[in-house]
Amino acid sequence: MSLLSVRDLSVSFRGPGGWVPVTDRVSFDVEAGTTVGLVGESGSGKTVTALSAMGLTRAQGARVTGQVLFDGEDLSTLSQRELSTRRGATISMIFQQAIRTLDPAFTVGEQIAESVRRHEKVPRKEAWRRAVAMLDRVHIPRAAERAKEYPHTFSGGMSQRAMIAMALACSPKLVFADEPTTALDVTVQARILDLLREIQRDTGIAVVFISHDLGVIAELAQQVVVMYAGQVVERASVEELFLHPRHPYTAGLLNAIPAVGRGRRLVSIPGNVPAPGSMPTGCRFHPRCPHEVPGRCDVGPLDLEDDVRCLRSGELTLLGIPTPTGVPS
Amino acid sequence: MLKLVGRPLAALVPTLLVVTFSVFLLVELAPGDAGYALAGENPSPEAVEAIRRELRLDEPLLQRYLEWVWHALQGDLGRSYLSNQPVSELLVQRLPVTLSLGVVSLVLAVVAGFALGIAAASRPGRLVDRVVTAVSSVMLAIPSFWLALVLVLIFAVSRTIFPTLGYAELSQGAGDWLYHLTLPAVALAMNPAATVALQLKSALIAEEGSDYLMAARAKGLTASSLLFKHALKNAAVPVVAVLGFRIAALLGGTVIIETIFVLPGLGLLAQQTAINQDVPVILGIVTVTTLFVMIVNIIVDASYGLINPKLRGAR
Repeated sequence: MSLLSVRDLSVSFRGPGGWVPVTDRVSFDVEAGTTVGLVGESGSGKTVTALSAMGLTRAQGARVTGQVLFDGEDLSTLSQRELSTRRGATISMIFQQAIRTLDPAFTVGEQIAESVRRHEKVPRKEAWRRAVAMLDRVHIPRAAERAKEYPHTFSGGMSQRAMIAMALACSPKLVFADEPTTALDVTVQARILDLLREIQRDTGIAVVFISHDLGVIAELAQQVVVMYAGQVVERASVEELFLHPRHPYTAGLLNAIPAVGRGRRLVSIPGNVPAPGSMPTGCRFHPRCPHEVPGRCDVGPLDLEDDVRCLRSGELTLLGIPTPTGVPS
Repeated sequence: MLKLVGRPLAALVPTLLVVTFSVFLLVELAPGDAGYALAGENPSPEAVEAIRRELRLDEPLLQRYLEWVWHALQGDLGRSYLSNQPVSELLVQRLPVTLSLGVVSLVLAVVAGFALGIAAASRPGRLVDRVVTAVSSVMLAIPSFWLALVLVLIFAVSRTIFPTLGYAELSQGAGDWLYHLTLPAVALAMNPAATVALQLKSALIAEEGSDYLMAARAKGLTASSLLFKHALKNAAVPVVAVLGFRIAALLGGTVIIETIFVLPGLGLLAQQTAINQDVPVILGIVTVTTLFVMIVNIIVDASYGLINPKLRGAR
């Protein structure tokens, strides 16, 4: 059985004119110790899916249906109180803007120790020692001194390391990493990815890595889930997805990966992700799709079949690219 | 931390000089002087002139002011024109009453304000929130002297639940002390309590959507520690700032409230001496209250540093 199995997760938020559906029956599995990439443009519902899996959108008043089977129980049936004993302990999350996700009014050490004390009955001193050890673990220099400092004294990369330390302090079995490197510059980005890889190698933690960048996903993930406009449009292994994309949207994302010396023009996907509440009929991607057939793609409901959500996937031959070099196979 | 406190401390002396000199000038500009006030009914011009000479009111303004400053620097605030009592003695007598009133109403304002603010913020847009907002707005609009009179009518005239006037010293028992201070403190606390409630509510609601609270929830914190530990500490910054302003206003309010409840504090003294143009006492009161307000401001500024770590290293 998979460590995490998200089944038909649909999330609606309350809008001015009633409930607005944001994600539609999202399903995917994560095996223990592996990394799954959740990819799609901004607004495709990746973050909402991750937050909802942890019960965090329910806490904000969203309507959530479907199941989240994690570690032998269905998280979607648990109360917020019950969920709070799982969050941070067995399932955790790293956020995009680390600087804004650390509380400015408490020292970094206090915030990590707080998480330890929440889930494990340890004395204050022991929790502090663990916090310092965690900061050291994520390679923050002079960890014992830095623990006593406030988040505003941390750089972007350092606060993301601190955030990772906070999320992983209680050795969870799975962590959602929501674009943890997007706000950082490229060199820092690479170091954070290295750190995540290193921690995964050492602890065997499962990671759901959320990104709009398939290039980054290729470096970390074994499985990829492509989301568009609140739906899963394709699921495949990284190699399969890169070499033989089956959904035109996936092919579009692959074409948008910049690479040195590939001798190929970058192609962006024209248009934007439709807003929640105003989804096109039929295939939600059809208004932007180069392979769209009027009268066929824009009618009727469209389900995920054989891991792809495209009527024409059988008849199209889409161009893939070799997985970027340096990918661990 | 030293800079946080040192700079306002250095500003204290010039501020005191400006304030006392302004008051000196204002008294001078007001019609009449202590000569008339002391000479009794229908005085002869000679009698008034004699008293004025005796009080040295005929000397130039600047000279009298500088003399006052010179003596004040040596700790001598002079004697009251009316009672001939040393001003410092008067102040020592009256200050505890006003401080008691101020502290009790401040505690009341903070407790009530925080309770109302938190209650409103925990259910934004719901009934509690609307009731708190409406009640606070009304409380802000009502002048404290009006509330004081209404309280007297309800609790002291129709039913004698609380005393209408007088003061009992703390040394004679806390119960009696608090008993005499309840009505005036409630009247005085109403405005700042409403301000704190509204400020805290909006500050808490502003924190609600912040990323650090989402992250704190994601690491398993319960709703109550999110609100009371994390959101409250961040929301307290603007509230403490507002509270600092309110303390100065509170001191001004004591003049009217002490007069209504006949509490023998600085406020009542200020009101009496201002009418009689008893310059040394007026200056004494102004000096003490200015000092007090400035010290409160320094404490408020310093407490920012405690609540908001960004300010500690910044200045």
